[in-house]
Amino acid sequence: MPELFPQTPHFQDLKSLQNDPGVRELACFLFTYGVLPRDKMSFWYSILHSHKVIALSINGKRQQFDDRISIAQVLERLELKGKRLALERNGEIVPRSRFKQEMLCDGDKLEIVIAVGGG
Amino acid sequence: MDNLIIAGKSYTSRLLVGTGKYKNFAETRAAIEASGTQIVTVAIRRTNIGQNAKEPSLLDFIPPSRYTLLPNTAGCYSAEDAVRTLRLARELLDGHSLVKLEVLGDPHTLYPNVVETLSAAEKLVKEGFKVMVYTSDDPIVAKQLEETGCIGIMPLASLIGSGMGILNPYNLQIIIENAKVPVLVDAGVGTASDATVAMELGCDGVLMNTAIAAARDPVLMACAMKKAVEAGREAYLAGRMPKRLYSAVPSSPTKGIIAASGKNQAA
Repeated sequence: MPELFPQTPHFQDLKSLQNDPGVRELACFLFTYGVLPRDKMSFWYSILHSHKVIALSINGKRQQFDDRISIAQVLERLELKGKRLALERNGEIVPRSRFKQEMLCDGDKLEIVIAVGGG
Repeated sequence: MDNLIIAGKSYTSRLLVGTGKYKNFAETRAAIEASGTQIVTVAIRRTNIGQNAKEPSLLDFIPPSRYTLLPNTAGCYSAEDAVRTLRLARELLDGHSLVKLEVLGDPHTLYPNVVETLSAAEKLVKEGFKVMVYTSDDPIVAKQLEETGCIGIMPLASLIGSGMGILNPYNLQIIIENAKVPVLVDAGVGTASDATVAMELGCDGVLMNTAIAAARDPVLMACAMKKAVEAGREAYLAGRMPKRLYSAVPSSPTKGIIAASGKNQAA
């Protein structure tokens, strides 16, 4: 186990770490921003892969996807690939250039907007 | 050339048109084309998830390559929502930063909340947006919005969708007198003469949506509006004659009138 965890039973058991939402969120963050030390890679990989399915809120509706899905993959699944749109993840705009790299996590809220008629 | 200059770009048409409330995209396009407009407003909304991928979208009919798009903040009741919406719009339109700001105060009348509008305008200008701002016909607020850095002031003629025409031409005149940026009437135009009156007062342009979309024949009304705005602008530039209670100077000569026959002689 990486040394950054306290020496308590909860943090010494791989299973409880994998189920800890805070630890999973940390794993997601580390992968998204590419700040993983090479020797810790396999540990964090196992955290990220432990969950088979993630639940996302997309335009207010709950949908489930396989773990390790990128924004680009979600858009393709929703038949929105190639459409002119803008996307917010948890309140922050994600530029189109990051759609392929940005991996989504359980509980993420997405807002996907387009231009429509209006005065 | 008497062109409308907005954000450094020159436009021959002084009529701006909204893309809402039409029967379908085909009618939207036909009306927009008939109006001769070069600047159209669009709204930013959630996409329908599960919609057929082959279904067309508005921008297929009103392409950004052909028209200058003005994303709006319709439906926003707070500065925060307006700013958020326009950030999304800028991302959607590849960095396009010319926007229409409107912050409403009341869903029943759709009257603008000028306090939130001022707050939103300040934030947006700081973030580099070029803001055309929808506001009330309060001259002080209009000046404050201009001083905040908005590049266009758009006072209402009357309530959105009401078609009541210009209710307070005097306020509008004051706003036009005091403004150093373009002033465009936005909201409340109902028929062609309303647009003409706005231009005669000295407005730089007119923005309308319902006046065209809710007409019995939107394409024909769009044609009328195109002429109305042109006519009003030319009348303004021509310099109208003064209004008088009466004028003893008729248009025809007073000399050489044949002798009167008897009845109703002039003294």
